[in-house]
Amino acid sequence: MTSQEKISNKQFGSLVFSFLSGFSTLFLIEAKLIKQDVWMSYLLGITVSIGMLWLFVYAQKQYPHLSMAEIFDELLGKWFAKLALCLYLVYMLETGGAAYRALSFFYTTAILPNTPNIVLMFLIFLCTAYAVYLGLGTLARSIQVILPFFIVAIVIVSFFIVREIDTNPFLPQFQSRASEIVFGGMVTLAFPFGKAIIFGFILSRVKNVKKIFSSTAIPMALSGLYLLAVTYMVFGSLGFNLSHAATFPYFSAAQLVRFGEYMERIEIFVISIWTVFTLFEIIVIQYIFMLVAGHVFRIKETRFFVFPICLLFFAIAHKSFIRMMDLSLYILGIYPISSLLPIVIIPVLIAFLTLVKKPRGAKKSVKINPVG
Amino acid sequence: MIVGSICILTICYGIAGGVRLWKRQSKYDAFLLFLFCGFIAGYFIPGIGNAWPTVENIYSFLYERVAKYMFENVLNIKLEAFR
Amino acid sequence: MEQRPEPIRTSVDLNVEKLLQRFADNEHLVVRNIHKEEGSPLASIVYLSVLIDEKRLNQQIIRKISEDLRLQNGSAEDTIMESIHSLGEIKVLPQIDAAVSMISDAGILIFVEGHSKAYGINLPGYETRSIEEPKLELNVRGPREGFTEDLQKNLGLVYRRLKTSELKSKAYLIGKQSQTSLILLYLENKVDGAVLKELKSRIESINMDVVSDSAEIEEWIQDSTFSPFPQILNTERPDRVVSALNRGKIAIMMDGTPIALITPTTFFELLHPSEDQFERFYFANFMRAIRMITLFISLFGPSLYIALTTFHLEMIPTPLMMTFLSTKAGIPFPSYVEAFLMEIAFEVLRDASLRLPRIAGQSVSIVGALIIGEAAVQSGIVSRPMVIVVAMTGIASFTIPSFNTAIALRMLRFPLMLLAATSGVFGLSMGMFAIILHLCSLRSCGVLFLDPVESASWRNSLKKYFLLPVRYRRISRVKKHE
Repeated sequence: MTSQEKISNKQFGSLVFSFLSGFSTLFLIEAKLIKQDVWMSYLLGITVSIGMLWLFVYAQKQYPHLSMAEIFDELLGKWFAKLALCLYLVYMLETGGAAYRALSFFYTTAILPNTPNIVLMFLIFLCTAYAVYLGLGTLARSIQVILPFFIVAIVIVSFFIVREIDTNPFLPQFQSRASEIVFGGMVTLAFPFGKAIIFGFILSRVKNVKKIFSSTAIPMALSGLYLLAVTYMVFGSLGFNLSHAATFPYFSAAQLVRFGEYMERIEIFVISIWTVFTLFEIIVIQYIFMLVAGHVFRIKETRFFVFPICLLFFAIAHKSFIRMMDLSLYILGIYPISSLLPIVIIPVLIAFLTLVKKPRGAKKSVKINPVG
Repeated sequence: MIVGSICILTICYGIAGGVRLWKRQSKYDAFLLFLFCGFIAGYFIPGIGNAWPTVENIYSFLYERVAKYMFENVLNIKLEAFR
Repeated sequence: MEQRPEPIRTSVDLNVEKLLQRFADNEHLVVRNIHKEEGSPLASIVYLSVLIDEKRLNQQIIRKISEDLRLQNGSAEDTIMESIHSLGEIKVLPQIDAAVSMISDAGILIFVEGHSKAYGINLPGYETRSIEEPKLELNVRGPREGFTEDLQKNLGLVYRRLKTSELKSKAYLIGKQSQTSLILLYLENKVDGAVLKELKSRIESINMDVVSDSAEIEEWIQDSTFSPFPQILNTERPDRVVSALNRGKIAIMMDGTPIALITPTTFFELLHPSEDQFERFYFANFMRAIRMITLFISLFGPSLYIALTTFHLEMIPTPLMMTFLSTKAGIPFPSYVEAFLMEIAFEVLRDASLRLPRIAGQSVSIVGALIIGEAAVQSGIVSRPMVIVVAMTGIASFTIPSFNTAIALRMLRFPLMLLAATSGVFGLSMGMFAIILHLCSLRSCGVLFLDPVESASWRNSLKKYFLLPVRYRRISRVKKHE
């Protein structure tokens, strides 16, 4: 395992995009609630998460030679830093466990009804543990191999779904209350987009620190666009009621795709590529967990801990969200609140402390343009 | 059967990895690995496993009231989750 | 235990005695003395009679020395020295150990009275195969010469095609007992220094007693020992070595084997035969695209069939599914058992036809394919589509020119079939992902194994993967990834 391999900005961007886009289209929970006004929630969610990540980028630029965990130490002091990092560890376990379950639920509900959940989860565990063992460089390169296939598959499917759409489903606009949109924004922030905050911990592993914000913000924005396009296609092809009733609306929409009279149900191929894509989220979470845990517990030989850490994720997933309903209720009810601490509060705190405690030797007026 | 074998596998890995780390003079790591594997194995022991902490349990307990208050009183949204 | 090097004495008798001790119980050691008058010899020639060309020794060297001695006008020793120097390439050896290796390496050794040095001349007399058409890498178009087991001949084949002083070589002696010579070849202006340095240090670290084939060297210097994929290209075609050298690669050639190694190698180079460069570029690229498909089929063919027929029947178009189902009727096994049976039968047949003599081998493969396949279908043990799938997969794997890569793909097929049988497309995508991850993690002497795919831009990747017409073909060089 090459532990300190640096990755290029392009690879980092691809990683962020795949990390966010894998699961975002699976449930479309917020879209089911807010219907045509969901784009506002998306905008809210994306803006806030880009803003939060910018705060981390800001802190990273002030301390270009430290990793984010070390910056925490520097700013918060040893024990508070440990506490904050532990909160992130728990957050990663929460997110990773949910992702594990979401993927296995999707398969057992929609495609492999006779296969037990634990078999699928065990396969996910094996595959992701291997990926974490191989390290960040390999991960970044493999996303470059898979991303083109994913894009081609999605474009083909989208092309065929768009043919089914007759009227603009996003009209009429502004039918929801502001509080509903804020709530949708919170769900969006918690579930697909806010997760990107953990990329803060590998910012120091990217080659060009100067361009790091644009290589984070652009894929996040693209991922938002992708989500919006999917929502448009789902509503357009299925209608609001059917979308609300379907557990996996995008999958149901993809089932409409057919090539002529002969080829039907080609969605399985798309799904197999999509599955690989979703694994990136679990892998990245586990990898960053390993880095942060290694820092918090001062582990010297992290290589030995890869297997147990991935097993911990598997165990947590195995014991939580036993029913599908538990998962969706948790994501709607608890997750938007519980994730506020790591996604919003701690980054704000870190940025504030960075501003107050300007590092020694740093130039006095380091002004960073938030747009890039 | 899968659960049982994973449990045994975890304990075996903990012991084997711990011994290897111990021989490499990183005793702290060895101890930590052993403890960690023991903790994980707990999840897979029938009976005890269900009482082991998960993030879902802890956070549901911690945040349920806050979330209910936030959503129902501040944002005025009725969620099935809190019925 | 380190031994002190033993110097060569001025007395011929003493030196010969030393050598006789070293080569005790060797029936083939010959010592021939050159006398002027009675008494101790003026010079001695020592060699192993099985290795050298005795006819040449008698007709050229010994005759020359005796004639010179007859017409001598200075001291006898000086005359002998003069005649030795007129013989061509001689090596001056100061120690007994060097003298011993000279004898073992098909050389003759001349000791001259009063000189504390031995003089060696290589005079190989053993038989080698003549240059023939390569047996493994057959081409429709392109040169027909292949390497032989003789290193000198092989080097000649390469040097003849690259007439530049930039072509450098570095020689090693590998194997404590076998002392096999190994040559690194590279073009100074093209090679990446970091890769060369890395390779040199790896070759220096080789610690073996006897090296019998370049395959052992390959195993020793490759980056990942436990990968199923070969990470070093091997070839028996000089033209392939030359074109690789021109792309900044390093060739490793060894005495006693017709296979040269080329490193650093990327995965896609293993998939393309050298012939691609000599074909019209449309056709070459068409074949490259086809080979990507055969790569996919040979890896996923049976597992995809298992996944579809076991878990995702709805994916198959209805008329096709009806055909599948009607052929499946009455077959006692589930698809994956059928597939395992047929795949193993296929591997057995393949191996049997390889091991048997040529003529018998052909009949085994025909008998196997026709009779066993047909009988299995007739008796209702396997279904017809399964036979087609297995046969197709087998043939697809034969289009991959690198034998080792094809083996790796065929081996990986079995775990993939298991995954497909347990969890359908899900298991397959897991397996596919694991293979992609593995390939991405591999390196060949520090250069990324999946090079064109992982390079900075996708446009660049396509350019590297597909061939442009010769006129527009820019040489892409390999670079070590930092």
